[in-house]
Amino acid sequence: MAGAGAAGFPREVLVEELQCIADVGLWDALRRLKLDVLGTDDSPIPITGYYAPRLFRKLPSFFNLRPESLVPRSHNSIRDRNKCPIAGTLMNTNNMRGFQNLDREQLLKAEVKKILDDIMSGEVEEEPALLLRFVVISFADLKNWKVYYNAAFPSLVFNSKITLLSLQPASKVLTKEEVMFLCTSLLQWIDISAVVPFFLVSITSDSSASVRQLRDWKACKGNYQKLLFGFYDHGCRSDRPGMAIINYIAFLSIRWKIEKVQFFCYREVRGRPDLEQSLIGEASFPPPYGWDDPDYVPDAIGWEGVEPGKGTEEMKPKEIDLQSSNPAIQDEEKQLMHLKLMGWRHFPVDLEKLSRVRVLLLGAGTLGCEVARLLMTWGVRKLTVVDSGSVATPDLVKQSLYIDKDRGVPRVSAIIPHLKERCPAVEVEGIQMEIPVPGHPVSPSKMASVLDECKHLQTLVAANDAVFLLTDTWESRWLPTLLCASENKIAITAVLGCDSYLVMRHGAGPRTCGGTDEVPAQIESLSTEDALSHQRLGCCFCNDAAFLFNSNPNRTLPGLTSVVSGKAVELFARMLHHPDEIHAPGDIAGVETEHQLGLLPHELRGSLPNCVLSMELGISSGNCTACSIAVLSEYRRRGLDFVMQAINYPTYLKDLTGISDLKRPDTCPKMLTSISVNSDKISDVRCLLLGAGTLGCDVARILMDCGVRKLTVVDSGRVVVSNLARQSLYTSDDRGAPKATAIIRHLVERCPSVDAQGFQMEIPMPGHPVSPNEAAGVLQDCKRLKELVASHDAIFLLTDTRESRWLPTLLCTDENKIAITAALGYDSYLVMRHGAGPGIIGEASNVTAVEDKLSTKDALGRQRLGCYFCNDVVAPVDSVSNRTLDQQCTVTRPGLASIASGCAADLFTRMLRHPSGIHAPGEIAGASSGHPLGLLPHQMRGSLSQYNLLTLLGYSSSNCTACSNVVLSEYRRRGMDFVMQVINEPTYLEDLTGLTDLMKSAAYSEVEWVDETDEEDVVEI
Amino acid sequence: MGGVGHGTLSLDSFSASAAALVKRWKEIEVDDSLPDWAWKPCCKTGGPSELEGYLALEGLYRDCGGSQEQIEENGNSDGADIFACDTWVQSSSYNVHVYDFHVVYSYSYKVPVLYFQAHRSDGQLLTLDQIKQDLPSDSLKVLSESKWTFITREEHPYLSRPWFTLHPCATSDWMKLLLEESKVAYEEQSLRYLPAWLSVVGQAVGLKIPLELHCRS
Repeated sequence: MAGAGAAGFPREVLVEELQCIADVGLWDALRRLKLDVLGTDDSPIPITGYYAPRLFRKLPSFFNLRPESLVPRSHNSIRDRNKCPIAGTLMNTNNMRGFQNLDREQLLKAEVKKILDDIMSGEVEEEPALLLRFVVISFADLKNWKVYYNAAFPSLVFNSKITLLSLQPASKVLTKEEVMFLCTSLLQWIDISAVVPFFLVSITSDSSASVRQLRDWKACKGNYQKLLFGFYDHGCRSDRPGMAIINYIAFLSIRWKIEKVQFFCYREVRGRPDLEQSLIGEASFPPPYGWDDPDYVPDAIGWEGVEPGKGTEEMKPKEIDLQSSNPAIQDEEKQLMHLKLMGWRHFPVDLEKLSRVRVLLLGAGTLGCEVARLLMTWGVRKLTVVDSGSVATPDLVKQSLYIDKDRGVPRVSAIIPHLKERCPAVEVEGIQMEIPVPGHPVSPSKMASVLDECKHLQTLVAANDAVFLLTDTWESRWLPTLLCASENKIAITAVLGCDSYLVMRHGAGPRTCGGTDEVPAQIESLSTEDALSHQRLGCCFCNDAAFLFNSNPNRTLPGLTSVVSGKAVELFARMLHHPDEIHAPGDIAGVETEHQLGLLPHELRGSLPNCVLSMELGISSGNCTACSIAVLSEYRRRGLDFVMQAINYPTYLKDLTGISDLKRPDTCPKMLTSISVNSDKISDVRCLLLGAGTLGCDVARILMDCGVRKLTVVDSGRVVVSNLARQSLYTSDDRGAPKATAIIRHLVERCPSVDAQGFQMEIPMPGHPVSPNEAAGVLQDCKRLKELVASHDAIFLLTDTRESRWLPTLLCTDENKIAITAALGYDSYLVMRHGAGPGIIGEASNVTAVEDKLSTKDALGRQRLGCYFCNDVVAPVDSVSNRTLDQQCTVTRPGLASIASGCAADLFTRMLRHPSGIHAPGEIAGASSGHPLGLLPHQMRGSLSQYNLLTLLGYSSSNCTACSNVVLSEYRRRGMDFVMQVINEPTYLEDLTGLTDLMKSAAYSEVEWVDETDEEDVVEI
Repeated sequence: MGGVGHGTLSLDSFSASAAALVKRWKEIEVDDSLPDWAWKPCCKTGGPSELEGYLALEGLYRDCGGSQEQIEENGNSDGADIFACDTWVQSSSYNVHVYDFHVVYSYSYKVPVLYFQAHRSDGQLLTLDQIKQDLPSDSLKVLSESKWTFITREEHPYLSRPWFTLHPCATSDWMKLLLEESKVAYEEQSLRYLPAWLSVVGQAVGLKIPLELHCRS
C-alpha cells in the first residue's frame, strides 16, 4: 500500500513531517530559568528554534532547540543560514497535572490562528519565518531533575484540496545553464541576505536565475519565464516536499490569491545547493472557503508524535532526565532547592551570602549539633566548631548527630563526618580547645597554654563572620562575648534552662568617636552607639540571663534543645538578611515590620510548660562585664594582658565595671524537682510514628530522649539527597533506602536498647481513588494500619499531606488512642492532641444498638476535644497534584520542624503524666495550671515570622469528617467498606456528616473557626 | 613552536593547524554525512580572543537503526472530518543520535584533546555504553586494545558541562612517533599535526577522517 498512489500525477500532496531535536542544555537552561527567575509564573515565554534545509543526503534535517533558544533573540547574533531562527512559544506548567491538562488541540489552534492572522495582515511578506511558528509545552520537574515536553509544528489544514501536479529533481526540470545560474545566485543570495527560509526564484528566458525576497513578488510576476516559490526543505525524500510547504501554500492562496504555483524545495549538501535532490514541483489549490472571516479558526495539525487523525489524548510526553550532569554539583543544588523555592512566594534567600558566611560554633554538644545541622539547611557552608569534650553514652540520645561508635571520640572530630555525610559541600573545621573562663585562676604552669587558647580564640573570632555561643557553662561565654563586641561580629547566644530558654543576638560593637588618625586616642573615645548611630543592643551579660542557666544539661526537658536551636538559627538567618545586619534595631512583638522574613527581635524568652514566648529588648549596659565601654576600652588598650587578669583575679571585672557579681548561682526553677520522672512507665509506652521525614526524625529522637523505648515508624518514601540536611537522622549512605528501614537503624545507633520497628507502607488517603486492581493492596494497608493503631498507645501524625491524616485520626478516635498531630506551614506550625473517643451511653449489652449509643462526651463524661479535621468544612481530598513545586512540602523555614517536633514530644510527655491522660481538658496559656508539669493545651499554633505562640481549645465538631459520631458509627457498622468508599469518593463524607447541607445553608458562615488559614495544609514529611 | 618534535604543540600552532584543517576540510571530498569543522572562538574570561577557542564538528547524525518508515496513506477522504489527514503523512520517524565533537587545546599537556557527547533526538544524553553501541567494530577494537584510549567524563573547559573525553596523557608520545614516521618537513609538522592526530583519535570514536586531509593541498 505504501507509496502505491504516489507515482502518478495529479495526486494529493503528501509532506514529510518535521522532527525536533532538543539539546539537553536547553532543558538545563529552562530548569534554571524556572527556579531562579520565573518562580510560580507559568505564562507562555518566547523561545527560538532553528530550522535548516536538508544538509545530508540520507537524513532529513531536524528542527533544533538549543540552550540559546531561551535567550531573547538578538539581531546581531552570528548569521548561519543553516540556523534560521524561528519564533515559538514555550508553555512550562507548574505541575504534572497542569501539563497533562493543557488543551493541546486548543493550543495548536491558537498558534494556527496567529499564523493565519500574520498571513492576512501581510506580516508574513516581511517576515516569512512566521509561517513556521511552533509551540513547546513542558513541565520542568525541578525536584526530580526531569523535564517532560512535547513540541508542535502547526500546519493550517487547507479545507480545499491541494493537488500535486508534478514533482521532480530540480536538475531534471531545469536546463544545465539554468542549474548553473541558479547555483551561483543561490550561493550569492545565501551569503548576503538575512536568513530567510522562504524566497522567490526567477529565471529569465536566457537562463539567468536570480533569488529574491518574497515581498518582491508583485514586482516580479509576469516578467519571467519561470517564477518558483522556493523554501528550505528539511526533508530528504524524492517523492514529497517537507511540511513547510503547507503553510507556504496557505499564504500564497490567502494573501495573494494564487491558485497554482511552481515551487522549489531547496536542499543542500556540504554547504552548496544540491540541485540533484532539491525538488521542483507544481501544485494547484482552489481557494479555501470561509477564511476571510476574521473570527475563522482553521483546523490544525502538527503535534509531534501524534498520528494524523488521532486525537492528542494518547500523546506521550518526551521525558528528559537531567540527572546525568555533574553529580556533586547537582546534589548541592538539590540540597539548596528548598531555599530557592522560598523565593517563589516568600522572600529571596541570599544563597550567595549564606554560602560565604563563616560561622564559628562554640560548643558541639546538644545545641551545637542541632545548630550546625540547621545552619547547613539554611545553606551555610563554612563552619568551625570549637569544643573540648568527648562523646559520652548519655549524649547519644540528646546530641542529635552522634552515634554509638563515636563514644569516647572528641566531639570536634566526631561531628565532622556527621556533617559531611549530610552535606558533602560543607567545609567544617573542628578545634579541640577549652575556652578560658574569667575568675578561675590558672596555675603558672598552665599560664602559657591558657594564653595560647585566648589567642587562638581571638584569631577565630576575627576570621569568622558570626559566632554561636552554645557552651554549657555561663562563664565560658564571657571571652567570646568580649571578642565579638570588640570585633563587631554577629554573636548569638542560646541558653537552655530546665524548661525555659533564652535566645538572643548580641548588639554591635561601639563606634569609635572622632577620626582614626590618632590611634592612642581611640581608646578613650568609644561611643555608646554603634557604627550606624543606633543605641547598642545588649549582650547576654548585660542582664540577668544567668539565672536561667541550667548547669546540668541532663535535666533539660527533652525537646527544648530542638526548639531553641530552631529559633537561634532562624534569628541568625533573619539577621543576615536584614539590611543593617548586626546593627539592626530590635523588634518587639506586635509591631509591623517591612522585613520579609518577619520580626527581628533582640531577645527571645520562652517556657515550654507555660507555652509562652516573649520578646525583649535590652540596650548594652554601662557596667556590663563583657560589652561595656569600660571593658572594651581596657581590652583594646591591654589586649590579652587584660584578659589574663580577668581570668586570674575573680574580683577584677567586678571592680572595673562596678557590677555586683559576675558569677550568679545556678538556680534551676524548683518546679522540675517535684516531678517524678517515671521513666519506667514511659519506656513501656508504645509509640507509632506515621511519617519518617523531617518531623518524624526529630520526634523519634526526642521521644527516645524522653525515655520512650518502643517505637514503630511507618513511611512509604525513600531517602533522597535533598532530605539529608533537613531530616536529622539520615546520612548519604541511606540514599535510595526506604526511610522506614533507615530510621530504625539510626535510632538503634543512638540507643541500642530501643525496640524499634519500621513499616514501608503508604497510608490510604481519601481523594486518591484506587483502581480495582490496587483495591486489594489498599484494603490490606487499611487493615494493617488499623492493627498498628490498635497495638500502640500513642500515635503521632507527621505525614506530609492533610488527607493522609484522615484514616489514622478515625482509627485513633475509634480505639480511643492518644493522637498527636504536628503540621508545618511555610512559617507557622500546629501541634495538637486529638480528643478522646466518645463514651457509650448506657450499657453496651445490645451490640447492634451500639451505633446509636455513642455519647457526645468522652468516657469520663467530659466534652470531647476536637481533632485535626474538626475545623474543616470540606472533606479531605487530593491536595497535592495541583500544587506548584514550592508548595510541595519542602518549603518551610529551616528550624520550623525542630520547633514543632520539640513541642509535639513535650505535649505528649505532659499528657502522659497528666492524671486524666487522653481525657485531660484543654488549657489555655495564662490560665493557672494546677499540674506541676505545666500547661496541657489542646492546640498550639506558632508563627516564626511573628514570633508568637497561641494555645487554642476546640471541641469535637458534630460535622467532623474524621471524629464525629456519625462517621464513627458508620465506620463501626461497615468497617473497611466504609473506608474504601471514602477513599474513592470523599464527597460521600460531606454528605454523611451534613457538611453538604451546611454548605448549602447560610449557617455555613457560622461554623466555628472558619477563619482558619490553610497554612498547615502544606505540611512536611 | 619547538614542541612539535616532541609530539606537543604550542597554542599558536594549534590555532594555525585548526584553521588549516577547517579550510582543507571544505576542499576535499568527505563522506556525505559529515558536517564541517568550524572554529568556535570563545574565552573563559572576558571577550573572545583570537587564539582562544576550540574546533568543533557538531550535529553528526548517526542513524542508529530502528528507523521505521511509517507511511500511512489516508486514501479514504470521503468524510469531511478527515480534513486533518488528507494532506498529511507522518512520513517517517528517524531514530538518530546526534554527536558533537570538540577539539580543545590542553595547556597542561600541550596537545589537542577530543571532547565529545551524543544525545538522542529528544535531547536525552547518551551514556558511554550507548555510545559504544553506535560505534563500528573496528573502533571498539581500538578502544579495548589501545592503552591511550582512556575515556573519562570531565567538565568541558568552555561549556562547563560534563563531556566525554579521551585522556591526553599519552598523546605526545604517539604523536611524536607518528610525525617522525611521516617524514614531513619540520616547519610543516605543526600544520599537519591536527590531521594526523585526528586520523588516530577519529578511529576510536568512529569519526571517519578522509585520507585526503593529510595530502598537501
